[in-house]
Amino acid sequence: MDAKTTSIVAYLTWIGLIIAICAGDKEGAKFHINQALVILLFSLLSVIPCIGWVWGVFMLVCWILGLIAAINQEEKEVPLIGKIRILK
Amino acid sequence: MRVRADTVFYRIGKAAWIPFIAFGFWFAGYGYEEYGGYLACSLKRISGIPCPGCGGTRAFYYLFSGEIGKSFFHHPAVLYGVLAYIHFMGLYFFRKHITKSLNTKEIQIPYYVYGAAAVILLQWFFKLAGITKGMLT
Repeated sequence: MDAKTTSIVAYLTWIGLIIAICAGDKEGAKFHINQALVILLFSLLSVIPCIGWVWGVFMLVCWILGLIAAINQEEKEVPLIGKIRILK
Repeated sequence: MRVRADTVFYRIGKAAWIPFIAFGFWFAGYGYEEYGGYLACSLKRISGIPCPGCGGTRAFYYLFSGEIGKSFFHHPAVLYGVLAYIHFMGLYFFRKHITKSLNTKEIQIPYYVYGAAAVILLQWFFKLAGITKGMLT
């Protein structure tokens, strides 16, 4: 998979992220793999009762923004959580 | 071709408003009485301290019951969300069809998100301040 496809696939749930890491251009799409991982990890906080609905809406917006950035091949950080780097 | 974030959100907004309003009226007329109890905040029930999302369900209920003031009082983020939606859709429509200036600049979605975060944190701060002063229970 080329870098663009890897970036897009990385946002498609945990399965897509694993496929992107295992079978994609990891170096070329490092920014988006990292961002997708951060979004997916922080999405888990949506299960918290009450406040979870607010966080869930925010994560959905972040996910759409991240996916659009991946389609456009731009290294655009999503709001608030975009600066977090898990993968070095 | 470059995909624009504001165009994607505009299309989502166009597709979502009818189901959203239908759900809102269903919730105000029937759903809140029937299922509202399941959505009660466990943090508030256990500790008495509201979380930043507390009041959201009631605010949504009052919004669709036509009581805007009560909705704002319980959780202003719900009203903010509706106003942000109207502002965004109106601005996009205005730029697309009236001024034809859509291509000159993109509407920045993150600003709406930062605004929502500020509203949520502010209302939480006021609620906590109210509790510490004994104004709210």
